[in-house]
Amino acid sequence: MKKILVNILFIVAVIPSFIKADSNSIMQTANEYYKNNRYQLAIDEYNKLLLDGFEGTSLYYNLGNSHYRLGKIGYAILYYEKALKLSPNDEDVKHNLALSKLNLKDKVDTLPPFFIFNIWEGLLASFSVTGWTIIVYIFFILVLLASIAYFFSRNITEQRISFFTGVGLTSVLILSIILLTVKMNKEFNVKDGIILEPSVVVKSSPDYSSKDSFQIHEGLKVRLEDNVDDWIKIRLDDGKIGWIMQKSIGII
Amino acid sequence: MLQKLVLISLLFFNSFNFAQSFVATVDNNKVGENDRFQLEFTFEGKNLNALKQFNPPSLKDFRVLSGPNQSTSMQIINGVSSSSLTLSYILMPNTTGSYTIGSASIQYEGQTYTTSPIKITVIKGSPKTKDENNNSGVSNQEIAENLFIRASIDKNRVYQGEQVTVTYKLYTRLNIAAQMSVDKLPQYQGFWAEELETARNISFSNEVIDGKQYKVGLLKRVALFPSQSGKLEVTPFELTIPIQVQKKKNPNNIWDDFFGDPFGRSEIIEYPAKSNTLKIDVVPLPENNKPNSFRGAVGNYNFSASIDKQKTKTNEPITLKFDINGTGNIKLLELPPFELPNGFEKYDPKTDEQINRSGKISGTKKAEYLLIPRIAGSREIPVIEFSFFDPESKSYKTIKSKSFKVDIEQGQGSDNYTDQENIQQLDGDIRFIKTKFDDVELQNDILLLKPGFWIASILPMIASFVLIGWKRKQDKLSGNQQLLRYSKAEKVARKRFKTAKKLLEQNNVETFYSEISQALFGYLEDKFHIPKSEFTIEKAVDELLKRNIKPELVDKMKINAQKCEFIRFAPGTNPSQAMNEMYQAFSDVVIDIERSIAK
Repeated sequence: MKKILVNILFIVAVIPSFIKADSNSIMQTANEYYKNNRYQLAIDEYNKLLLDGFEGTSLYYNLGNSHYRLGKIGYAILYYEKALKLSPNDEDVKHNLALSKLNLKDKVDTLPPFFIFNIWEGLLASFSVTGWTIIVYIFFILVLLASIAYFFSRNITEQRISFFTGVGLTSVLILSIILLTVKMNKEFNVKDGIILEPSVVVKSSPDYSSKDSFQIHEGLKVRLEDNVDDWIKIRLDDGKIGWIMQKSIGII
Repeated sequence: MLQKLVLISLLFFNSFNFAQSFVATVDNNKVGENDRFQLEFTFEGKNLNALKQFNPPSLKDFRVLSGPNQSTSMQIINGVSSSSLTLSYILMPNTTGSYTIGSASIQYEGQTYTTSPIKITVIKGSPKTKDENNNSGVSNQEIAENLFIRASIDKNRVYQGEQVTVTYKLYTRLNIAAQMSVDKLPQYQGFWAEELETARNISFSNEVIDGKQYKVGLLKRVALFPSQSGKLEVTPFELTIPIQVQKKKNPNNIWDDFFGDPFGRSEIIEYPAKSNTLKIDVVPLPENNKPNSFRGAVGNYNFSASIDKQKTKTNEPITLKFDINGTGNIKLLELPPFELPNGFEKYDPKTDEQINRSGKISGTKKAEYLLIPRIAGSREIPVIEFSFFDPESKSYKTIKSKSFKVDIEQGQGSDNYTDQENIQQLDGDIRFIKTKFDDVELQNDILLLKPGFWIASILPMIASFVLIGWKRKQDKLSGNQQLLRYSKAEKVARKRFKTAKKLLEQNNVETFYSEISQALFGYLEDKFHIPKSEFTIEKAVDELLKRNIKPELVDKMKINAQKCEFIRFAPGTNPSQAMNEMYQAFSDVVIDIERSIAK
């Protein structure tokens, strides 16, 4: 019995730290390359980590920086967006993304959103899916504690306090569950992509022989709506729809 | 002969009805070297669904042009129905000689049926016999010589963004019978394609190629603008063209006399025509001497810019107009960039394009920028440059507009308006990479989908339910009604006061006092958890003082309680007045205590 426990402890505690050490050394080398202005080598190192299934704000952010230095604005924006998805409040990521977007060729008009939507979107964007899950969990535990306090209260004042606290906590819990659901739905059903090729002719249907609808350039963020074979249906912010090849786009 | 035999055998079997047969036939067992012939396996029987495992013979000596093609038929003769399944091949011999087609087998209701082998003699076929034996009378090769689609381009080497025109022409010496249908449109990968105008109906002209006169019709013209450099390809254009061919009489075939066209002796063949693949060499634009204002325009253009007024007031818009016309890809033309002096706000331009799609793509692009001056003063919009690459002269050209002077007077409305985007200032360079990378971890699943998360949320829930359940049970067991009594004390007191009021009206002195004192004492007992047996006024006073209730109120309570005890046993001369006073005093005390507790 003890042996099994020790084994489990070993697996749980030691193996991840090996993997961690390995990833740390790769990050270190990659960052060294970056500091010495050898951006392509840095990208190769970072990509090794991506291939091994690692992710992280700093990884995506550093990759974005390396691509930016090489002038690959499309990739830079793609990785900044990925970093922003993991930590929506990172100052550095926001700054570099805004700067990269200055290099965009396409100016797509977006309708100014209604201010309530703005507040809602801001609230959604303030945490990642994991962040929202943790918030839901915290409030869930608090609601449980409040209900225990209610039943264990010794006089009317205590009871009253625990009751109203419980009601307040429950409403916050419900709100955060709704936010989590919407956020998850957004994350898994609504996919955005970044154009990676310098210029792409968008077709009206998934076929080379179909008519050309419009042309877009590197770095533009588009919504992905459908795919047929190697073709992806995209929608621009101003409502334009068309099909492009899968290889010319990177999914955030 | 064989056909007759088959016919007889069929009749023979039919007379026994429901009998099964499986035979192999060929339409001709003496065929020319270049001839096709048909091989058929026919099964006759009642229930075709019971057929299994058809094993065709080896056809390695022949080329299978088509097959096995399956057809079924059903007939009712003298009330007896029979069905037949035919599997047919169209074959062509490889070389001359004599060959045997082996037996085929099929399973039907557990029994295996086989066909007898067939001998085929292949002779050297003259073109004449070929025509006679050919199904259509004309070979595809012959058609291909007389009918083809040719794709041609006006230039083999173009610059990126320069127009290259592809023309698809149909050459024919045959009669086209009906509307042709498109099988596959060419693919212009790497190009921006713009279809050029062609006549709706194809009109044919004559052209002589290699001494033969062809009728030539224009099918399609497309202007292509390469969007990348390198060797690019345009895939063929594929059409199915129905053509009318003369059929020659075949004296050997008696069926022809019956079924052939007795008048024109012509036939319609669906011929799949295919154009050639085009290869275009796209040269990238030269890098040297590339002007800064170059935005990818290739062609030959004229450019002019103008503004609608030179004098305006703040917040009153002026319009800056661009007019670009010429030949080239107007649709993808980017407007020249320009700089605005400070204090101007620029709105996105309104653009208008007119494109002429005959021959070389040309047209005009007009754009109107709405500019709103926010600050008064005299400003100058600098020279606007428009650059393009002219493939004719192989050089970049730049057209400059003049600069525009604008006088802006102070108009009405506030002038401290600032564009919000101007405030947002961005540093010139990206920030440095992150040197802390603790967050780099193996991509993990979503927290919500992990079993651990659910265990961690369900366990506390169960625990709290158990705890609450236990607590409630404990309360019940220990008879802890304190809390209940505490919360109901006020209600009970109010009820007693109501009864007392009634007694007061009835002038029932004795009961009134006992009720009213019960109201006060009962309330105090419940509220301060004093067991009934231990209750005395002194104890109640102690308890009240312990809870920080004002001493005056406590005194008032004490005096009234003692007064009540006294009056109760020695009612005065005016009992109803005393009762009224007592009632008022007691209810005031209870209300005051309740208020000070609630604080």
